Amino acid sequence: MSHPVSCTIDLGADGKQVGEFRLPRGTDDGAFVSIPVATIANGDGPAVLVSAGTHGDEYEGQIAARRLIADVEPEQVSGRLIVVPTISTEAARAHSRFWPSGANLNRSFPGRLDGPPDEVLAHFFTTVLFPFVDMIVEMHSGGAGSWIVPCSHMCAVDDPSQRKAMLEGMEAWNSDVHFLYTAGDNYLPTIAQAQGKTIVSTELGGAGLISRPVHALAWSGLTNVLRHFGVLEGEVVTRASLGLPPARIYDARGADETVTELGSGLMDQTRAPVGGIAEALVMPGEMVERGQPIARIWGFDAPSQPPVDVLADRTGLVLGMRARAFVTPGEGFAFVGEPIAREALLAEVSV
Amino acid sequence: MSHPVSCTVDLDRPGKQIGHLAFPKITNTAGWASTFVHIGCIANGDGPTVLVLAGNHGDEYEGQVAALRLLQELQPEQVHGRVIVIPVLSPAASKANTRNWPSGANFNRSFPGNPDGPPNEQLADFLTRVLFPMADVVIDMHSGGRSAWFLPCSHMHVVDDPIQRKAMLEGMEAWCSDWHYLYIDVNGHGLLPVEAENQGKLVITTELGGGGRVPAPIHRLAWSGLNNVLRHVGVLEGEAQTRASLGLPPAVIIDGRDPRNIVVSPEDGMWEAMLEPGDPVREGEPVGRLWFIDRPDRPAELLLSPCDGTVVVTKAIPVTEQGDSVFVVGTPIDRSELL
Repeated sequence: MSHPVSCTIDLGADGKQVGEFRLPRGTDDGAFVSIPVATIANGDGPAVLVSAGTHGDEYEGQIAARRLIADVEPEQVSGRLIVVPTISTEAARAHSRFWPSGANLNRSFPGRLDGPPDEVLAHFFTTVLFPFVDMIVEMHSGGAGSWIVPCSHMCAVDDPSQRKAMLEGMEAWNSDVHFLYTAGDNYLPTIAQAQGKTIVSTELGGAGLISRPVHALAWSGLTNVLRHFGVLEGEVVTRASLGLPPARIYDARGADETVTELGSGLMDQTRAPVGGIAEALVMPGEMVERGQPIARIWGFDAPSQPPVDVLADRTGLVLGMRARAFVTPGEGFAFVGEPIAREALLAEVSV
Repeated sequence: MSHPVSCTVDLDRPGKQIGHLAFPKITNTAGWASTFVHIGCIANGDGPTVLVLAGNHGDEYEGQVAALRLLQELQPEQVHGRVIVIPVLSPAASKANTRNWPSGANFNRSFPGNPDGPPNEQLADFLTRVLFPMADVVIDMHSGGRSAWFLPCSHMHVVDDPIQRKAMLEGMEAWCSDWHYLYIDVNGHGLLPVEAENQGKLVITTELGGGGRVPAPIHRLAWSGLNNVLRHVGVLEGEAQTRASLGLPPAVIIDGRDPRNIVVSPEDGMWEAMLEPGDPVREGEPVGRLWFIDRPDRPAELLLSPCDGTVVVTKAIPVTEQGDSVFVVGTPIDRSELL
């Protein structure tokens, strides 16, 4: 293959290999950005891409992916794992959601060869990596700025069999909660889905603080999804086999106008009415009624003014809230999902 | 004397006033510009003067919210004495979600300050020479900020004077947190609490969690603790509670005075905490491990506890540089040993 992004290992070879993608910086010294990649492959079976660190400050999946490279040996694999533990390496080093250039890689898809480096990398994923695999596990979290109920989530794609495969993959994470969201046309999952791939994605907490249960959920969910796909040895567990109650699925699909190519994403549902220091009155994972105050914003420049409440704009489960306390007027602040039954989700596209 | 920091509030007047401190702002976009630091004074009759401070570090919002709420809700008729509140000491840092000032200054390393120094030292000098001398009690609310997850607690320096030590211990305990912590300065001088302690004040400080988010229970601890401490020192009406009167078991005091228990990273990497603040730990047990950004083929390096005890702090930002503090452990100590 001839692509400006080169790879130091043979992605089609058997065994365990660790190398890097080399993404040209586009500077005249020929320098490149190094992006670690590993393959663990053995015989027949599906090819699965495991990726994390699309946003640099979302470390939960990056650590689980690194542990996968360290702990999984080829004899445990039937098929092929391609693991990219930190896609946005420079953003991860900078503890930043975005690349140092300001690019949001999850708004750089499908990418183009004559674009800036983030779009060239996106093009490599779109035209080289995605076609090479059957399934994709793409791990996100709320990063430094947001706290999201730790879970796997999905876009409700139109194709009934793809929707069912993605639902079952999402459920295999065995998190207490799942949710449905709407992605913009320039998101990584949108492009992978358009190629018919089964993609399982996550929001593993965030807010710059990774608790032990979240690390545990990242690892148990990732390995169970890989078993569910049949690429990793071992028995698939379900919430039922673990003695847990069924997971609850929430619908956070926005009206189309709330999903913009430049938007902050999920948090755009409820925006901060004023700027100031936000005090959370509820936590993600709590049920709220429409109109209920979920936070109040204390005036910063005028402390003699009373605080302004942020109201839930629908009844349901608080799925995510801005974690960073200082907010600016109009900033995406929170989102709430309404319960939906899995049968209803499948029935939407049944023939 | 003309001090570079001016105050629009008459601190000797009874009643409730909200105004600001102003001092020269060095900017390219306005001449004769000032930085405002908001200040409130709620005073009524005889009683102690209590200085309530927060936002010393900008990204530590727990105390800022509690102090802003105090400024809103506290009325003179509830007060015996005087409560002076500065809810956000470092406003530009608070807006930027950073620990330090945009100039790079760490306000909590700026004391005693200097009226002829840069703005942070001018403000520190105003606290040192104007506000501290009129106060009996100084409350300075911190947390782990973005970078650290601290056991939510009130904490103290173990000062030498036995009477001051006892008063500070009792003030710390009046926060009614599950944990308290005894700390030392291992990272430079010029701390706000040290200056207040040197002036003989009853100083009460906190570490209200941190890690880049503030869960609602932490806001409640900030508010309940602050109010109870104000009742404990007699400036706020109402009866002070104790953990016993609340039906809670005694708090655990963690001794953090051994500098070996502050563990730093041996090299750059990506930190995964395996234990959390409050977890018991044995000497030699891994508290976390370091993954290597460029070397996924390298096994993670385990970082081990230097002692038996309790995890007090873990680094919240996984990306780590050599020499960054990644965790702190401490050992429980009985209050009688302290006195």
